[in-house]
Amino acid sequence: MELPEAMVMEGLLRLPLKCLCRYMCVSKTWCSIISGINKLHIVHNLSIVISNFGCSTWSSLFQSRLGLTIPPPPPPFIKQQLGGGEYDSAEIGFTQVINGLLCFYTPAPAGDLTLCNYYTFETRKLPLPRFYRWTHKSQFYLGFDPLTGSYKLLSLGCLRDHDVLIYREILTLGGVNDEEDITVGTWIKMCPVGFLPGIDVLSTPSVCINQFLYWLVECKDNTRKILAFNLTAHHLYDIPLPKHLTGFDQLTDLSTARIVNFNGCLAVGCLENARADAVTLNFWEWNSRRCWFQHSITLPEEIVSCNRESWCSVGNLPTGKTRSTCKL
Amino acid sequence: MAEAASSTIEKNNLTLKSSYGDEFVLEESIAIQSVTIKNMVEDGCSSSVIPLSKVDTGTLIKVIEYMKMHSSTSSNEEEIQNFDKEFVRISIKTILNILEAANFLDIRSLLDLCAEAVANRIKNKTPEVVRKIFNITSDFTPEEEAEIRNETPWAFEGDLDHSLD
Repeated sequence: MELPEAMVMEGLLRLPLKCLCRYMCVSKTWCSIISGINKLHIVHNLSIVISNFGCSTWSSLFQSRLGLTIPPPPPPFIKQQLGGGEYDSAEIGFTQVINGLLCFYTPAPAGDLTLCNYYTFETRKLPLPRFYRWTHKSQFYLGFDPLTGSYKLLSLGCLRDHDVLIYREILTLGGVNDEEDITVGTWIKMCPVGFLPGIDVLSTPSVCINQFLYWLVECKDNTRKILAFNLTAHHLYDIPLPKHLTGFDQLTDLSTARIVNFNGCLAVGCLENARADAVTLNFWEWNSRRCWFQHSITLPEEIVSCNRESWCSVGNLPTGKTRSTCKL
Repeated sequence: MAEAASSTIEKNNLTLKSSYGDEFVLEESIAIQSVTIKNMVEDGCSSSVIPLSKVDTGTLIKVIEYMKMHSSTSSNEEEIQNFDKEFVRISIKTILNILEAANFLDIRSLLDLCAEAVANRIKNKTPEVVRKIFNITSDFTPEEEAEIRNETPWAFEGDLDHSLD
């Protein structure tokens, strides 16, 4: 009896990495299946990059989009959608807001994935990906592909919390047809990814800009880089940090390094030196020529002196001004 | 019972035929858990007997047992979970047969159940045992195999299971 490759894959997908490595020597076929599973080597805790859940997310969403200072409560339609307070707000996950659209999702097995337009509060249920299990690593990311006018929803998750294999599935939404209704495709399973032993710390949540997701990752040898995932091409690569941030330069305070969406571009920001009274924020913008362009901003003292970790929320106002906020 | 039956629409039955030629009669509502069968029914090409040339009798009996349990309205979640647990307490070869059938019949939940069970069974085995279970002859030369093993020596550490089941 020789099982078809797809069946072998179904079984192997559910094995921990150690077994997979051991079974590489079973046969050439198995070796090629397993290296396919493993080929993309990413961090095993890639998807622990979790943004805040629940109300805190709502408040920051609304604050950043509407420029409000007092966060409004979560809109009642969300509660309605979820069957009247059945879930704790901390159990609801949210994706990025792209063009006013976002997705929110609730724990399996009765889990729901809902697309919502938060200007009109219209909602639409989406199918759940095949591998969706509610673990703390499960996460959805929304991206927009301006070329086809469609949205992509990326799902990363594990079957169990301790799994090192990450299942990736992609759902395409749209473009917009004549009825102005968004068409929903089907989830496409991509090769799951294992972890890259060299990288294991992911200090920051992801940032989603257009069709790219970015994470600032830290390798075991304390070097850092940016991982980027193209939601359209389903393709993962990394971007080196500006050279000021790569060395062990005493002039910059690496612990304060953050990636942010700045003017619709990826940017890395970092306070100038390790002294607590530093007020200069250096800013590198990843421009269209794929090189870093540096800005320096002098921050108001109260932002830096109270909490150095949270200078990081930088945004652009429609007036063209840059606005930085922090938690006091 | 008779009253209830007469008041509902007459239940459609389907006949599934195994690769050995054995026939099994099953309610359509149960059989359409298989997406393959459902599509056949919807396309109207299932006059009465559905030949399943890739599924042997023993496997088909297990698959039907699974579908009956999972469409039963009288059993609660816990009963179904216990059933699933017992269901895969069979030889790994049988599980692999069911896995293949579940794939052909496109029964997602059964496929998940079997794949999970296979993974559980083989996760602590040595490569030699895995070859025996899956009936694979290694096509690596001893040198090639040694090289692959040397790449991840840590994967061979620990208490490995040498038994076949």
